Amino acid sequence: MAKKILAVDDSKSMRQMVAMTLKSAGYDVTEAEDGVDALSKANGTQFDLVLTDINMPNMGGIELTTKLRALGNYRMTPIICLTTESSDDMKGKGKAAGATGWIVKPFSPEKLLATIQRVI
Amino acid sequence: MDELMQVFRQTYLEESFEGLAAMESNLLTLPEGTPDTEVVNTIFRAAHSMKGGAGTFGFSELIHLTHILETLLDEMRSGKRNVTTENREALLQSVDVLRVILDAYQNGASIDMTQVKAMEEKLEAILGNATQNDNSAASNATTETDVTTGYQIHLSPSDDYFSSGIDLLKLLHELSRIEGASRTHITTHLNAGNPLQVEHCLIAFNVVIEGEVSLEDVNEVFEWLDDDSCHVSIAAIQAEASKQSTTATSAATQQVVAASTASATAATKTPTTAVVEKQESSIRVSISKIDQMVDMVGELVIAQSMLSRFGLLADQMNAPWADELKEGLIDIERHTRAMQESVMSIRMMPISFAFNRMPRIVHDVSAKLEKDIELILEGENTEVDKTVLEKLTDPLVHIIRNSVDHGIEKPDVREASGKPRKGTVRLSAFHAGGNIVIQIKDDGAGIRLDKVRQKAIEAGILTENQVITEKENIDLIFHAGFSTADAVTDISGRGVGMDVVRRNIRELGGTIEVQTEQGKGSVFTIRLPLTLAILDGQLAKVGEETYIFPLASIVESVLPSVENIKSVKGTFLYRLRDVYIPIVRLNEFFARPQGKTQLTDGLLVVVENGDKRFGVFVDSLESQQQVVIKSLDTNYRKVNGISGATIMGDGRVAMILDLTELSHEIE
Repeated sequence: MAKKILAVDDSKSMRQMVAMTLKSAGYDVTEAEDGVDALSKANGTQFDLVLTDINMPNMGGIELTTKLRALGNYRMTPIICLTTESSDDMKGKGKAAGATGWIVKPFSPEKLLATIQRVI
Repeated sequence: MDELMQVFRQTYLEESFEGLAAMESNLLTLPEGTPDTEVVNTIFRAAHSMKGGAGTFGFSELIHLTHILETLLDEMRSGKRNVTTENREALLQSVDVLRVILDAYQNGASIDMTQVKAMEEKLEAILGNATQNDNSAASNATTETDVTTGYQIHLSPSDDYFSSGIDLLKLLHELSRIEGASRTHITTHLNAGNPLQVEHCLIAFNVVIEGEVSLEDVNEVFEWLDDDSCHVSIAAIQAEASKQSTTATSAATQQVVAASTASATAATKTPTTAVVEKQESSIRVSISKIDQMVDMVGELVIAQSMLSRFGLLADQMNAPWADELKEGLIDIERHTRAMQESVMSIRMMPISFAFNRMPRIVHDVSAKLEKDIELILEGENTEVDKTVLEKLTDPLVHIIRNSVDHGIEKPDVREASGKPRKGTVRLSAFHAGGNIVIQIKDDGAGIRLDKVRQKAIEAGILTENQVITEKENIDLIFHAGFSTADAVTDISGRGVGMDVVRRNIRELGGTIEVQTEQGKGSVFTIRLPLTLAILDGQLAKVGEETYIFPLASIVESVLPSVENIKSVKGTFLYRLRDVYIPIVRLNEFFARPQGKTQLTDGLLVVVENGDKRFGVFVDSLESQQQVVIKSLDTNYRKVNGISGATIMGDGRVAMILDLTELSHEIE
């Protein structure tokens, strides 16, 4: 079974790029446009990995991570943050919320894929 | 992947244009002083998204500018910096610059980097510090591709590593596959001292990779991994390789960290009232495809009207199948009409696409002129044909600029004449009859008719003693090369104005009228046809020729009676209820001597064009029908008095009258 990935980003181009890249590598990708959307999608499906942007309207990536970790079935799911914001402060918050790791924008489709393949 | 990248880039461009529009409209409403967090956040996010995608999708020219922009906005939203006129203007300007860059990308044009650099410097000056140049510093480690005889890597996962969901074996496996690795040796050891807990990770790994591997490749394996969840240290084995990188979160990553220091604080405050933009699901279709459809539907309308004749014919022949045929034909007619409407509606776009540019223009121009002006937009959702929309924008910009520049007075002048200091320009769009009406109304000083007259005389348009009506006096502003501004300003241009405006509008089959009242203000009214491709027409016969009147411009038609016909100096006038209207004879106008010559033998079609009313003499009226306009210019050549042609049901060609040009005949 193809691994299920939830890709969360409010930027359509970024979401599209992530989704297409991962789909072409055989992953089963679901897109969400913000934290609220992601949370409702994560409630319905068990994803193997969550890739999320940090700065989004309605619910950002940090809050999403916190809320996902609070769900029993996402306690051990890798959550990777896709973001330009990689200050130590932000990383601290991400880590505290339970983020597994970071992919710093800008990144190429190849790099994204390579990283995802290392995680799951 | 390249083709896909093109798709992503296109999406990025569209998204960025939308982002710029959002930034602009929010900046325009952003009050000075302590920043409104909600508004600034929206602006910030647009800049942030642009920056995020810029590098990923290869728009390198955008990266630095969006980065500084983001930093500035971040200072605002975290309350470290107030909104001032200066920095708001600078932000607006950077929106413009970004738009220019995106346009250049879109059109494959080259980018004027001096402009970009100047903008960057301006923003940096506001920030008050030369931002660290992240680009040049970004690569101490990444460029370091010194080949050593190997690396020793120590992996020490945190206690709660097992709950992170990361498979360490995958990483170890990957290390062994690094290019150039000839041998990989892994030893494990337990972190002594900690009490054994089943859910805790107490194991650590020592990996030795031998071979000619690059540090970059090794770093990359761990780059994404949060340092706290698994501590990684990498050391070169070779003795002379003094360069050591201690942590695996590469130096490159840390540079980026340093560059975006300020962007952290307020990110977790997600707005609660932010409007969620629900995207309508849509597809992009090229305009040429739609036009092709419009064309085909046009042909279908012609074919349908050709067929409908057989319904009548069958009736006359008393054919047994006449009823079925007629029923079928009526169905076809109904569906064709519905199809035509829906195809036409594809080309329709809300006029807000043109209107949305105006707040910025009013803002800029009024700031420059030190005027206080409120722009009110009404009916932005009124739909107009895409072609109309495109050609309408420039004239609108021009009229609005004029209203702001010449119309509205300075606050002190307004106050002195008992008006509110703040002037109002109202831009509205609505449907009226078969037209779209756009009005630009200002409460300014109005047009000084005496001044207009004087200028016209100076420009040689008018002679000193020429008597003109008030209407004609106003219309002088549409004369080529006319400008009333005392000094030529860089705002309203150099007199290449209103004549071009009127020409553009006429080209769209529309009219423009001006009403003005001294001291009270002016109203510019533009009337445009709903669509350019199909016309509700009234067919008329003159001899063998069939002419078509745009139905919307016909007021009435009358059987001329002898006592109402008057001849003045060779031209005929007709008295229609106490008003004399001029008469145009089509056979004379087109120099085709056929049809009736006695006015009492035929019909007078009374038409209205703009504010002119006149009679057109024809032999008889025929049916009314929708006709598909075909350009005569492209298929033949321009003919004065004819706006286009159409193909009739029986295959003959009929001419569509251009009433504007006919009305010139009367003058």
